[in-house]
Amino acid sequence: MVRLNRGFAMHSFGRLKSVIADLGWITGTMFAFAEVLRRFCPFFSIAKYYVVAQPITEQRLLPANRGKDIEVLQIDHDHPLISQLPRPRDEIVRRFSGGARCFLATRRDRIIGHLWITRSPYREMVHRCEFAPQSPDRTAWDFDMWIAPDERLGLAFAKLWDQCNSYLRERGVAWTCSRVSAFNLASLKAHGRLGMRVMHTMIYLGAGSIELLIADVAPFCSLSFSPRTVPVIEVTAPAGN
Amino acid sequence: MSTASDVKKVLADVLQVGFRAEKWDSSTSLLGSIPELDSMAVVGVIGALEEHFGISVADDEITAETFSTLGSLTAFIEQKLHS
Repeated sequence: MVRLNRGFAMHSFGRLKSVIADLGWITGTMFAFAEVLRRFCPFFSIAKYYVVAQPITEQRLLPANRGKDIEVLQIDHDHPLISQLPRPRDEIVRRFSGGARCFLATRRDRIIGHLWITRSPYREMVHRCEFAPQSPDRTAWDFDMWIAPDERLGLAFAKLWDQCNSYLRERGVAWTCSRVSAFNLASLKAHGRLGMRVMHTMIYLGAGSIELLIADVAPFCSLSFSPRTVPVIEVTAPAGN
Repeated sequence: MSTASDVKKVLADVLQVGFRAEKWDSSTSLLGSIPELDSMAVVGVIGALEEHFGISVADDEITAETFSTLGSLTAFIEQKLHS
């Protein structure tokens, strides 16, 4: 029994060392602290995010001979597949009424992924913040990229990204920005392959519904007691591209 | 070189994992264990394997089972080479 516990502790310690090595000492230690809180004291929370920008380019992720059985649709609020979206109905209504566009990846009428984009201000409800793209003629905000678990290795992501990329490029958009968890190494690496540039860092300290945001961009420090008081961050994409 | 070492080299080159690949063997888990291997990387890995081994991989052959371990990926390539 003692040996089992020691083995488990060594495995956990080894994993923690690996995560800290991958994320860096500061972010890795924050991640470890956040995990301890999540497991033993979930009333308190800590989170770190990056606001990142990906260039809209002519380069495609998917070769032309791949993903032919995946169809990407840009849908409206009354599309028949809306009822299959794995998100609450009011949240979907909120997104469409705020001007967001929804792209669905489907195979034989089954939803296998979705990605939302908007050029209007977008409010994140988990770790509250409103992101307001500046120069919306050349900047978009993308959010809630989701791929069905059994398709995560497949081509759905690349096909969705390529279609959204084309849609934005045709409309003169040069950058799409998003919020990425600093604790999610896989997501960071995926964004890195898209040419991600980190623009801002945000840290949340939470106690129940109260959230303290500390960021390297205005408003720099903000206390939110409920979804009615949400900090707003103006997102200005990098120059060029 | 064996098919296994060729597959390992192609993976290591495409994913740019450097010296970490030296520790890989046939039981090494790929999905979920190598952060560089995500759906975007898989497209590149498949393309590189097709080119290196002169094979053709269909979309529906890109499955979690195939990419489960280095051994399962090697077995898949060997099966393609002998079919």
